[in-house]
Amino acid sequence: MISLRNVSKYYPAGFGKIYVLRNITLDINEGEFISIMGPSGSGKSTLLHILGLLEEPSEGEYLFFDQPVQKLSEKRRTDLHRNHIGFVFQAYHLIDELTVYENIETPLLYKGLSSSERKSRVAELLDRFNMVAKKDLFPTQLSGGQQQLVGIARAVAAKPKVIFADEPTGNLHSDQSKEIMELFKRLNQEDGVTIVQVTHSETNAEYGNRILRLKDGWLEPSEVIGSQL
Amino acid sequence: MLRNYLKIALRNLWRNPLYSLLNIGGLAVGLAVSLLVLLFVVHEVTYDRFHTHVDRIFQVYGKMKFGEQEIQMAAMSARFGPAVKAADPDVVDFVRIRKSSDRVVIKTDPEHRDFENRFILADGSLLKVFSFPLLRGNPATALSRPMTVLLTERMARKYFGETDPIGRTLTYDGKLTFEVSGILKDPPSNSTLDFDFVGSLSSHPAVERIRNTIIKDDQVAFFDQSVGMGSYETWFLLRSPEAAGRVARIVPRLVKASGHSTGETKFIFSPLRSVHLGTANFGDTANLRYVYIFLAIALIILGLALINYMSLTTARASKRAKEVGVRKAMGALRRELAAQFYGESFVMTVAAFGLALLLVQLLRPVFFQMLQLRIDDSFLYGPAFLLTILGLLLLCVLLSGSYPAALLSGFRPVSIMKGPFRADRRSVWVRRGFTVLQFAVSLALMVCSLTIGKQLDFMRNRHLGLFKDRVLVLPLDDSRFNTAFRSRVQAQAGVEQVAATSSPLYRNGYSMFFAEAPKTKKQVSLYVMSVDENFFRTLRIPWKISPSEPTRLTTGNTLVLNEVAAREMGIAERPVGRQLQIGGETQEVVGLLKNFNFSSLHSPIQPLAVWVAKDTVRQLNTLYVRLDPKADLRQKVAEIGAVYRSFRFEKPFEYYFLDQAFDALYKAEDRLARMFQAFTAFAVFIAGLGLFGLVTFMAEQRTKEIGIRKVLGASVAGIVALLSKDFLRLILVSVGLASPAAWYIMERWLADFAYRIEPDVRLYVLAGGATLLIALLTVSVQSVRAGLANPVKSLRSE
Repeated sequence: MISLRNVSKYYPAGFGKIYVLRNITLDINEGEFISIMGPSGSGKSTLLHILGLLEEPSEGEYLFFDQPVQKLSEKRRTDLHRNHIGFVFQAYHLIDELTVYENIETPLLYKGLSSSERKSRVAELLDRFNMVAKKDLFPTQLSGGQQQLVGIARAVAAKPKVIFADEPTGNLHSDQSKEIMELFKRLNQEDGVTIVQVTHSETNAEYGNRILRLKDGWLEPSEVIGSQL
Repeated sequence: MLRNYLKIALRNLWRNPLYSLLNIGGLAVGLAVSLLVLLFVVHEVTYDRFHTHVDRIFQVYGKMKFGEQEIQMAAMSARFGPAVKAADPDVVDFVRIRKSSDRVVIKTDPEHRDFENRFILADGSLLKVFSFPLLRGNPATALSRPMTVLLTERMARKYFGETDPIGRTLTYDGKLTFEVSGILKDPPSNSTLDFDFVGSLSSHPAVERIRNTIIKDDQVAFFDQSVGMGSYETWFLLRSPEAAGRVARIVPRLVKASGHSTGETKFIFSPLRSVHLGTANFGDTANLRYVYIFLAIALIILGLALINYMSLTTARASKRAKEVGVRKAMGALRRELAAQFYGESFVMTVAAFGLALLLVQLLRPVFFQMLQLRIDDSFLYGPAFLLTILGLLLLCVLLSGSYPAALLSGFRPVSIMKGPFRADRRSVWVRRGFTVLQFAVSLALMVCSLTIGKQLDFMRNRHLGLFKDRVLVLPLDDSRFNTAFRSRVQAQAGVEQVAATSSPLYRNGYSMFFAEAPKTKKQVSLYVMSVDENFFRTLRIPWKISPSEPTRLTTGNTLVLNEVAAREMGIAERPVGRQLQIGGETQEVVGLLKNFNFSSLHSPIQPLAVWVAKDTVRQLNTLYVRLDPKADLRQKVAEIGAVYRSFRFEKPFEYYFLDQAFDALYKAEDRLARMFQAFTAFAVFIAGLGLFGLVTFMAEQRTKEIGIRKVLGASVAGIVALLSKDFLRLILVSVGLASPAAWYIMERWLADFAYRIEPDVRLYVLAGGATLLIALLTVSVQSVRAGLANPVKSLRSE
């Protein structure tokens, strides 16, 4: 589904350039749950942004469903964001002026669903995430864990093929973390959503089935969870 | 989708009440002021457009040369209109109008008696050529008989109340009786022809005879058989606008055929459409200039308000950046986000517009009074102004949304995931530019205000060469009681001196005569007035060369000149004893007056000839009463009023003070000064708002920096200085931009005055200082807050 061929990312600095990612070659298949790990500054987030089409690689080729995405127009890229990609952020990034219900509804608006379709989809998600009672609250009235639940509900609302999560539990304490990770696992196993997460925590990484380790912009050989243990 | 945008817009509105108030309030005030100014502008440019035939109506002018001067006159002889109509089939109709230069006293009964100065006489075709609807009466016959009159609605109400005026009579100056034959709708305020009474033109001989009882029939203007200049404004309705040039060309032939020489006189047909703004007239473009000035001011104010709006809106950009990023990551197109921000601007602008319309209603009376405008209510709700409002709304929505939409929708989503939002340098420069512009305009307006005020002061306090304080002026009837009344006033306690002249000073203007300069034989124009012997003493006008035999002053064949006149005539060396040809008579110069300002200080002192008459002469119908400095002015006026009333003059009691009349000459400047003060206050307010927005934005941008500096030991004062320094630089740039602009504009304005102040650096320093102070106060509100903030908070938000 996703394949990177010799992807590098660098920024100009003075007379030279600083490499953030070097020569990454990587394949992700549909239905995988991948954790990207590595020390600070190893390029995890940049890799995630490139995978999520928020940043462009400096070199190399990126195929998303066998389609080279470097040359896509803004319109086509937006189309992928609407229909195939969901994001979950460490700081949740809910829209403060919108209620829980409206936050979840927003991607559906951009997708162009009719009002009744939106209503039933949001109702379904609220029900599934146990948030029906909170649907009219604003994000600031929720705890962090609850906000992240809304963030995930929003990410899956448009039924994406893949969810990119940037340290989704980075701001949460362990109980909440566990709950969120269980949710990701269920989404992966029951709904078949591909998940790529960046995380610092080995525990969280264990929820996935493959770990990519980055060091100084290089990708180390991936380890498959389960088969090794 | 739209509902979602609207919801966000409204929630944003009430979640930040202070910000919303500043933003909507600022825009509303700006809109209200520019709407008011536009109201005036639209009113001016739609002058006379209500006439159905506006494009085909022309007024005829005669232009003639008098020595060096070119004079334009609109009054034609009685035969002019009929002759032109008979000569050319393209002339559909003509209207002759006689405007009275004097006020008349109209009376229906002793309780309804008043001065009226809008009594005109006109042909019945007035109702056909122009579009002044007749509410009562028969348009075909309304003005056909002599001594009939049409009243406007307001006059019908004033003089006849609720009763039916048709067929009733009113007296004109106590001597003539007019019969009311119809009622006209009040002419709109944007009409060049303005009147309250329209008498039939055939009444004119009777009106002339009450002014001049011994006039012979062939001297009565109405019976004048010549074609040429005369006494009647003459308007033509042509078959097509293009015919005007051809019709104008046949006029000289008609003039010649009636036995006159056209000489230097040229006849010009000026379209009604351009009469008011003076585009077709020579010289008189004062109205047009005002329209331009006002239009520029309206646009500047609107621009300031919009810039302020954009500046405040984008100041909150960092708050909105997250939203933009999230929405883009979810698949929002830039176009859709731009639409969303446009939607928000739309909501804000419409709210501001509603508020502005309310403000317009509220401020209208004050504004009109300040500018001494009369604008009909019906005009306010008429299509022309409504279209203006709609156009303005559209423009505002388009402009106010543009920059925020372009800026905010351009944020890249990845930026929000990489730590807190940082505005790019470009947008910082844009808002700096905004601030500089706003302060430059405020500063320029401030300097203009101060300069205009100073020039006004200068003119009012200048020594004029005559004594104008505590001088009561009484315009009288030229009636037989004048002399008796005068001696009664003279006898009053507290009256120092009494004098009389033929025309009131600083009021209407003076008669002009031409005299031949003895040496060069050049025609020199002289202003003339008749005064009594007491005049010079009462107003303390000093002699340059006083008459050697004072008795010769009043012999009837002598005159005195002022210094300028003597110089212009080329007799400054030895003026006394010269014989001058003036008004067809030979007169000897017996004295020379020192120059004094007898008209406004816009122009230098003009040549003046003064005839001195015995104080018993009837033509001296303006009385000057100099009062004792110790006397109570109000009480004296009341006493003199009582004396006046005891004489049973036909005219009601009326007076003014000479110094007030002099001040009133600068009404236009006074108006301009007040307007500039109002605009200055507004511009400063807006600039303050804009700066406030900018500081908020900057402080937000630098939250982290401020936090770190505090942790490292910076004091609150240090932080305030850090934030303020930047803005002070901007203000200095404004000063640099605004000063030369203001200097240039004021130099041009001052050039209109013969007596003027010189540009004063102190005014610029004062304005600059005031601006700096205002800016500092505005900045300090936010920067102190930023300085006092707990660094732990700002650093944790990372």
